[in-house]
Amino acid sequence: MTTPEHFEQKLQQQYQHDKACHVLPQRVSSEIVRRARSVKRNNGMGLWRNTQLAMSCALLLLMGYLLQPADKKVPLYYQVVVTQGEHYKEVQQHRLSPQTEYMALSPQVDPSVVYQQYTAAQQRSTAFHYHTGLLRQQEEQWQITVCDDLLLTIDRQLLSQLNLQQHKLSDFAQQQWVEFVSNSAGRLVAIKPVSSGLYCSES
Amino acid sequence: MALSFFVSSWFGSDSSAEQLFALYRDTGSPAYLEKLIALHGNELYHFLAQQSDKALAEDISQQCWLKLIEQPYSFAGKSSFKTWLFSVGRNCLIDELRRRQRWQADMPETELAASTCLAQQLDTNRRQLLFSEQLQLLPFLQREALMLQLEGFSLQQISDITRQPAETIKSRLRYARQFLQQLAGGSDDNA
Repeated sequence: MTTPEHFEQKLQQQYQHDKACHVLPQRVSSEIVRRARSVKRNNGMGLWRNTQLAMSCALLLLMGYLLQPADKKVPLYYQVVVTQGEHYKEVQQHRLSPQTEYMALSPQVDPSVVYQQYTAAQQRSTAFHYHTGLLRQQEEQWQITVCDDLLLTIDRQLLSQLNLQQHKLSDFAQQQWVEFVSNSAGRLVAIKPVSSGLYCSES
Repeated sequence: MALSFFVSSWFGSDSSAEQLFALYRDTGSPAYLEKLIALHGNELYHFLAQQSDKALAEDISQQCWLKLIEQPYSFAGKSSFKTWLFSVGRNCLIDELRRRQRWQADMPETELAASTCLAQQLDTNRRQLLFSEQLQLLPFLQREALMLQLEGFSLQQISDITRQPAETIKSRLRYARQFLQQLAGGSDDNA
């Protein structure tokens, strides 16, 4: 008696044996390969396609590289460094600098936005302070001195972003009395020229 | 796709048919075609030979491979390469049989069961047939389904190749087995 498993096994064996007895004649496969060689499809075509692909990839990479700097803006952070000077009680360096480990903790602040907050709250807030000082241009930076109490240095980048009360940087004289506004965090918000200066007592 | 040009060296001699095909299509190198023929040429030829005769099987085999040479993008990768190859081979064969007016397999499925009666009519001597001769006693469509299954195709793949519902394929397989089992039973009895 033939079991189904035995039947299946025998069937498969017979099939494989039969297949081994019926192989594609060598002359047929040789003829097919010969035809393939004669057609050989302008095989530059395949090579050309691959070359096109490689060139397209290279072009995309190049464009990506060229366009990247335009899109990539390094965020700048307002930085205030407070030290004590030889001639001044306090020296403050105000500048915009790229993100650092320390600065990463500070939120990015647009001085013009802060100025709007200042003007809105001007009448009621005590969060903003204004002082009068002498503005001077010193090579790559500007300085504001308040007698011998304070020396405040401002880098050009920060100055260009400050609210100058409709004035241009070029309007400021090499040395001029100004009123500067700072917020509760001590950040400069605005600078405007004033006509009257400050009387400093001899210390 | 074209990347195969760059990665061809990664593939050793154990490349799958799909990889070999992609390499052949993209490079046009006959070496890859030779490997493909070595991989599936005999299987296709055997299938075609059992469904027709040697001369026609040679002719159809050649047609299939030439189609691949001339229209390399006709295989879109929706199935395995082998499934696609057997589909092409089967279609070419049936077209050729129709052209030669040798096509007689368009019988309704209800008539398939009748083939089992054939085995009962065979006398003892005829039950000592070779396997290939036993296969030839099966109707074309039953033989086709059985051979494709023995060749390793799944029910779904056979369904795809023959463009018939899976249930129909199951019926054909069942009748084919019943017939061969009867022959085998007879052989065993006589052994």
